[in-house]
Amino acid sequence: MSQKKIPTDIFADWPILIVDDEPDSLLVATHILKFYGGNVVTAENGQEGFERAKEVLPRFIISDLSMPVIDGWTMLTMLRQHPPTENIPVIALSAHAMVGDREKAIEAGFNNYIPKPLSAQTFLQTLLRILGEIPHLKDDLQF
Amino acid sequence: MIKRIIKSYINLPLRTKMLVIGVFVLTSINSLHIAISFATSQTENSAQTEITIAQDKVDLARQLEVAGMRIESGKNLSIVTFLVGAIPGDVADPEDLSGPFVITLQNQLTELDSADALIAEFRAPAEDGTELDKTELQHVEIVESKLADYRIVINEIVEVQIPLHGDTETGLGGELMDSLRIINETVDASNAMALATNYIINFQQDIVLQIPSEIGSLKTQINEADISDTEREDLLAEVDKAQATYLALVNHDIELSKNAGALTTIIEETNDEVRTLIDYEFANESDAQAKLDDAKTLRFQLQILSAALTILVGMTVAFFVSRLITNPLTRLTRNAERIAQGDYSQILSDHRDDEVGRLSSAFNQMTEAVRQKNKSLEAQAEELRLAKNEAEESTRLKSEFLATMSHELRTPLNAIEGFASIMLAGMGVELSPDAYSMVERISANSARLVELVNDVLDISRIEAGRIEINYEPLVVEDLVKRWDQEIRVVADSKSLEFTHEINPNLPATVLVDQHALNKIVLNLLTNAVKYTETGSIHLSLAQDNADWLIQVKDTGIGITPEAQTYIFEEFRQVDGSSKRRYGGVGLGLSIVQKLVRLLDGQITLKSKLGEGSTFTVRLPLKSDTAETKE
Repeated sequence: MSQKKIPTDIFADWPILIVDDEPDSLLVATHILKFYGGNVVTAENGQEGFERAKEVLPRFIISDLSMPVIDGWTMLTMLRQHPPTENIPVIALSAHAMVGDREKAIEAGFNNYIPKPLSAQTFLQTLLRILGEIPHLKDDLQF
Repeated sequence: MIKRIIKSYINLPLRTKMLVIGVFVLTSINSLHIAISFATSQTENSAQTEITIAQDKVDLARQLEVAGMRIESGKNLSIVTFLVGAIPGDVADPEDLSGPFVITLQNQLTELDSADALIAEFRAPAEDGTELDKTELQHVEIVESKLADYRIVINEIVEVQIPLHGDTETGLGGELMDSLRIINETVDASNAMALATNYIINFQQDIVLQIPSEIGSLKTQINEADISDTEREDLLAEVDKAQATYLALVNHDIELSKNAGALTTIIEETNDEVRTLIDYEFANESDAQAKLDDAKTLRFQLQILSAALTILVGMTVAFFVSRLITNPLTRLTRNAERIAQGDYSQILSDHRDDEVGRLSSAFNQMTEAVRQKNKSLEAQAEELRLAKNEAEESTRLKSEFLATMSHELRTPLNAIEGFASIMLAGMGVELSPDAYSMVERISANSARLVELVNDVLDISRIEAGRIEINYEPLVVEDLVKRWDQEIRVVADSKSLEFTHEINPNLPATVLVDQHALNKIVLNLLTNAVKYTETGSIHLSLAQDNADWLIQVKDTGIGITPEAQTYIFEEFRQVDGSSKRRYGGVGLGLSIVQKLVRLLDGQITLKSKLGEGSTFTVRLPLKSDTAETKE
């Protein structure tokens, strides 16, 4: 499939939270998701990410793992322990491509894991595939 | 001296040691047995002798009793004979006094002789020389004196009283008859004479009182007789004399019967005494029997004691001898255990010449050798430990470095690739044709960098042993479909034909590690596409005996025979010039080979320069039941 087939309003008005301490990575992901209609909110660490998540209650969260202040793992725990945010899908996005990272992340409770680096198309396709596996998002992703 | 004997005993060889102790124990046991037998048999023999003697004495005493009883019955016979009046012998022969009464008395004398003989025999020392004891002597002397008394009485009766009684011619009887015969010359005294004769000869008791009146009646006849007064007086005096003689005779006979009564008393007393003696001897015999029984019991007890003693001595000796052997062995064992625990300070000091001693000294030498060896081993171990720590530390640092490098390299690459791809995808950004082609170059180069980083990471992981192999059942068709999707895009972009086939002999599902297999096949396919300008890429899968084969065939530039020898080494490409034409630093095939080996397989290459290459991966076909390999 090519990006041409993906409608640019696929995430129309979806509140989406992206958490990453790397400004460039954050910018790339923000740009792509905004292009497809997402109402993107960003945070630079887990603490901030948790606050934003409580505020906007996003449809899903994309989060880096290693970050200052509070890392992705801890933020996930906080989200899962807080009833309003406990069911929000959280997808890990990391440049740590060592063996077992994916398994560790899923075991910890992330819905899935996307390794960096990625081209825009690959990122989008992978993300859509992952979101398609999440029941309550699947139906809203009609394209 | 004893110390020296013990010392030389300890130095004997074990076999001799056992032999010596065996002989010692057996000899001791034998001696003990002989001593016990000797001691008990002495006692038993003497008890047995005592029994025999006592039995002999009982025997003699019984014979004596029999003799006494014979005497008693002889005496009874005498009395009966006496009572029937058989004192004198032949009435016609005045000298003959050997009537039945005397004969019975004389017979008793014979019996007395044999009783005396028995007494003499009894008094004689026993076969073992023992004399009669006090009690026996007392009894025997009483019996002896009683018998002597008896003999005296008999003798008196026979020699004095019988002749004094006399018959019609001798003794008092003769005197009485003489007087009556004188009277009978004048008056008829025949009645009195007949009665007197009957009394004298036959001792007819019922006529004892008749006789005096019969004699008295003679006086009446004399008074009436026609004789002179002188004659009358003489005759009357003769009657008185006859009366007196008769009285004397009767008195004498009373004495005689008194003596006969004495005989009864004596012989009864004698026999009682003899019976007492018999009882005593019986008691002696049973005493001796008891002694024998005691001796036998004692022997039995001694035998049991000796058996127990033998066992005890044997055990004690065995215990000490075994200690002699086991003690040093136990010490050796303890030392061996100490050495096993690493304590070499305890060195044995058993100076003995036997096997145990030699074992000890051999053990000492061994201990010293082990100690020395262990010292150097410990030093080596310390060195090795340090080296290992260093190696581990360096591995850890390497891993850390890799992780950091990976993260640090990927982060900027992510940004470059991200922005470039956004621009190329036209996500809200419009580029001029020149800018578009430049951004395309940026993207391609960053893609190469990503590939390089991935390859370096992969090879490092494999070398660090950080690749986990998880066998799982995979559907071959699905695998091929995925590879097709990945490769077809690149192959299409170079206008290469990409074909694949699955031999039906291959099972539909194979057990394999998905990650490793994907890496291997995609690497080979990518390489094939990369090094092929025109023509086709062909992928085929098939079973070959216990293996399965994955073959990637291309019509590419091919590889020189020389290059084929190092193509699987790291950082190698076919030649320097190709580096510029084809991206990559030559890590791909090295990774492929390492992964194939991790899957217990092998990879081979057939190639001809300018005509193409064929890579064949041979993997073992694992059954479903095979366990997951880490």
